[in-house]
Amino acid sequence: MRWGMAIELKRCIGCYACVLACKAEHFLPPDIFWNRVLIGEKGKYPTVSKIILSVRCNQCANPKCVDACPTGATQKREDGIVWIDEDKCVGCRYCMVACPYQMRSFYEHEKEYFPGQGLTEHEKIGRILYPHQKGVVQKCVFCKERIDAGLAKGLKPGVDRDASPACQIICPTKAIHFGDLDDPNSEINMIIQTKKGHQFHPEFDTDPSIYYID
Amino acid sequence: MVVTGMSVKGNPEIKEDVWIRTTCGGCYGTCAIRVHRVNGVIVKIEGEPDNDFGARGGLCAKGEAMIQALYDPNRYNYPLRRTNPEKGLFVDPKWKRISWDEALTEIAERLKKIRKENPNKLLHGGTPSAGSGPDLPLGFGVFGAVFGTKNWYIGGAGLHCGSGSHMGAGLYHASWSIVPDWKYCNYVIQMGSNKGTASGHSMGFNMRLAADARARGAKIVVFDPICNFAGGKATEWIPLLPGSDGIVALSMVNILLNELNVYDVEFIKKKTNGPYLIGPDQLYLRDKATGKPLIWDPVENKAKVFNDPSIKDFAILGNYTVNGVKCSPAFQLVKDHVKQYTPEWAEQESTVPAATIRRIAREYAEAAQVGTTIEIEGEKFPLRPVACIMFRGGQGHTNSAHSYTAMCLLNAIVGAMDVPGGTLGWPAYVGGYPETGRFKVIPYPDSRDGMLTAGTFMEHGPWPVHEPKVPSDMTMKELVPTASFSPQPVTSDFDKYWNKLGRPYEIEMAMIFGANMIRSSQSREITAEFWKKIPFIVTFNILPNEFCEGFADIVLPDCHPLEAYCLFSSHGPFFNHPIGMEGWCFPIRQPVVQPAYERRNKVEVLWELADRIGMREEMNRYYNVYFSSFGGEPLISGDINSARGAAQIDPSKAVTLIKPEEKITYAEMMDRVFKYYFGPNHDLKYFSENGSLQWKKKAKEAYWRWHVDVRIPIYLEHIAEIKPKVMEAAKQAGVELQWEQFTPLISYFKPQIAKEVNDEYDLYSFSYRDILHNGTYTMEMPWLDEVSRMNPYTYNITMNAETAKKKGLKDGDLICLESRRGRKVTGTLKTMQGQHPKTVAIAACSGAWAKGAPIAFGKGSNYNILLESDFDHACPVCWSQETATAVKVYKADRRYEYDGVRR
Repeated sequence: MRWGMAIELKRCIGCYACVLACKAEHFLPPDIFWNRVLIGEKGKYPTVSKIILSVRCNQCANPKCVDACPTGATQKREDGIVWIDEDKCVGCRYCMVACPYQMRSFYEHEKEYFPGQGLTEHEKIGRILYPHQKGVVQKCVFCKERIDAGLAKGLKPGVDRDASPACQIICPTKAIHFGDLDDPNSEINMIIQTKKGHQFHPEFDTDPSIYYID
Repeated sequence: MVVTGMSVKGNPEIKEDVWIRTTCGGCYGTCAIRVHRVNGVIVKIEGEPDNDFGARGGLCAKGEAMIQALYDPNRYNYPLRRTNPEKGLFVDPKWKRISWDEALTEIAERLKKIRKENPNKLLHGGTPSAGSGPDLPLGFGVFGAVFGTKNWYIGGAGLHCGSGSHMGAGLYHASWSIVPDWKYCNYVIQMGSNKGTASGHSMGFNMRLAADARARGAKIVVFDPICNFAGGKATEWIPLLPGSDGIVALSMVNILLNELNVYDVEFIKKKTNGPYLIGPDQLYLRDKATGKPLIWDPVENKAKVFNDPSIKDFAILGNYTVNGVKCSPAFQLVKDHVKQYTPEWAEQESTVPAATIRRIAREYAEAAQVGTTIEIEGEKFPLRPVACIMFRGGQGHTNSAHSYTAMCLLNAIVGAMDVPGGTLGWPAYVGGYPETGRFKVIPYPDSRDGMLTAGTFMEHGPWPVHEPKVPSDMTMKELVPTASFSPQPVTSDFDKYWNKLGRPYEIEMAMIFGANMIRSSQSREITAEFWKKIPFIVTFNILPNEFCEGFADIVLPDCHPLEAYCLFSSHGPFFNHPIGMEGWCFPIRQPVVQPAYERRNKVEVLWELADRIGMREEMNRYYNVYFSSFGGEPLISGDINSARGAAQIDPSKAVTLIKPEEKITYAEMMDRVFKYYFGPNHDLKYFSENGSLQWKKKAKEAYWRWHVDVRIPIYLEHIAEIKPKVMEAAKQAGVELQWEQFTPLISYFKPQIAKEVNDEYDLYSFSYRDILHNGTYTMEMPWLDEVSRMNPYTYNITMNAETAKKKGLKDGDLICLESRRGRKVTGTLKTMQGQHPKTVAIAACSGAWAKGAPIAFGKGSNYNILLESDFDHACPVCWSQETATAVKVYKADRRYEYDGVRR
């Protein structure tokens, strides 16, 4: 079992739904993003095309962050998900330096979404449902809580919404696919093969679990 | 306890975990959504998966961010009264909290007085913002119509969004706007349209279907001065100058008709006024007995009435003589007329290379597959897998009506209208819910000329064409029957005309909802002058904005879409319902949380006001007529003026859903309407639990064009008909319009922007829709603000990199755009390769300065400050505004437009 994603760039329109669904799902603090949309351009006027890339932790099979972590807080699960044990993390941020994709965030100071106006009901319930420790690093974990709970109920991640990552199910253009890279017959492997999915920066020697399709 | 469908850490106490179905209010697309409420708090919003009304489980960022608008601590929670008598752009209202009773007592008193003296002294209006748009026509609009005022002002969204589009889509598709039939279309041309990549009606399913089209290899050609949203997803982005789309379209029509000889003869003969004979006076030759237009039957060699059952064939070319009068079929005139629009001329006006125009025309002609058919559900339909669409940008100029109709011509000549693969209007044909036969909308031919008429009331007729009149109301729309939304009276030339007309009355009160008349309207200086003069202004809003703070006397706290019932968001299939073979869906909007503090649903507040002024019975009667119209016979159709005629409708034709004396709640009305449309089992309870009623669409509903005997005007004869009367009536009002545009032959006219650009003010500035924003309130939502700051363009001003370099400007510079009238807007420069060198652009409608919106404050720029508001800057035929303006650009040392803002 190795969870992975395939993202069809032709479908993606850069709506940022994936970014906000993740923020909502995990009650992320202000200025913290577990996934981002990168915008750029290719070509010279008048032959120009827009680059839109939805990016997040690549859940690498060969994660540099795990190597760099001095406390063992950052670790890789059997199913390939790389996660951070907040209790073990001391906030040294060596992992942030080590990650060649720059996908990690350091949560330092508590901030209000409406500065100086207190916490909204929404922010308060977030601290109950999905609290974040200050002074530690955090990042995308492929919605492991949804996956684990879903599997326990017999649901299929990538197929059943409740067991699937928030960014995948919110995408209005169905650009994001999720599934088991270890299963040769999985839909995600079919897509990667038939549509020629490729990883970002293979030269980093990280073996990412996210493939992009042009 | 294992909790699925949400990320949870540890073992928090979960007392409630429910999903409520409703419709989104992030924009006026009203996609079907499901909202997660845990322990009484809304924690997540997603698209409703098994529903075509949206992205089938997906949702855009604006929808998710609604959570933050709902819980924004800056929201209006109580009725407020302005205690500072001064009004102005940056004035502190010095709010005082008052009770609902005090507020409504005063409002009702004033309304009673006005209604007695002259109801036209009430100005009302609003804009589809914060998702309350659906209440606009049927909540607010009805109130005003029944009250008796003709003074309706829509503010920014309608003004710059698409008066040409709405006029044209109404004319050609009995719809509000158009999209490609993404499922079958192979070749899409978008002209100043971000369909599939931005905001607005039908956003949800457009995103989904357009992505499918791209994934299967459909070619999408985008004509746009900027390569951002639509341009960014194009197979081929083609830059052009703002306002030149019309001549590009006309030159392509020319190439098809006169060089390639590709056109759909059957469609032109049977579905357009192409065969109607035109005389030397530019009008139809009419049968003396019936008054109906004549055609030439080339088989029997005689003129006949257009719908004579004995017709053997229709001539669409040639010259004929009928009763001594020389005439030609309209199509002959159109074909000859477009010859002047050479690709070379189009290149001069647009900067699109002539060779490119020729190539695109050829590709389009080939892809149109004229003459082919497709079988859908066992029935044969013409297959025309090409679509040319236009929205805001392409028609937001003083040549709006002609630009839009030119683009429609491109679709019409190949028969790509409401057939598989072609250009589709949002559903104009609803056969009715199978079990009851109700919720039915059937377009029909107008009784005189056989022209397509919408089967329900929508703003854009024009059949029957009204007689031009000397204006008696401040919108002045009576003057030009083809006008869509009017910029009057919020203009710099209104007083000139009203003075000439003898100033019959003044506006004493304004009732505005969900709008920011200051930031979303053109030129805040001009609009401020207007609003300052109105003695009493009441607004219904969710969040503070520049209009409320600067000008409102009483603010009433409205419900957020997540706190409200709304029936009207489900109506108007022509407005935003899924196209093509997507299923029918009638969704409910219902509260997911109860409105906090003293917030009240604006429609129920309007009903209470109606009670207090003795108008409730009339409103009930109107609603009966309205809903009955969906029961089969269109008792009211045409524009909102028809609402005023509701009292004249024979009461026996309307079902009594609400008894005259009843004072029901909104939820009660919804329950009755649901049961009336869909049967006793589909009551409010059913809808609350299921979120919507869905049923399969029939192919002949989706692709109705050849199933309804209607025609569309490729020759705008009605414009020739009204011209002399418009000119005469205009004289009395002292109005001078660009009369040459009142021509029945679709033509190119240089837009005002092209006339104003010169050596000093050398750039065409324009604004465009950003997927992250809708109206002026989205910048206040912290999540949207965060990602806007992450995006390189959303909050910045963009220019072509070469142009910037030549002007000594670089990324990160604070720059100023100054118009020829000295209006200034500033912002941070971001250079692009993907932008026309002669342009400068600002996304969305940012640049907030309201004290009550701290997140939005100072972010981005408010483009509309640069615009003018007068008839010189409006299309004379449809009254769409000129939304591009000539500017000079230079480095700024501060944000000039913020001078005077209180912080």
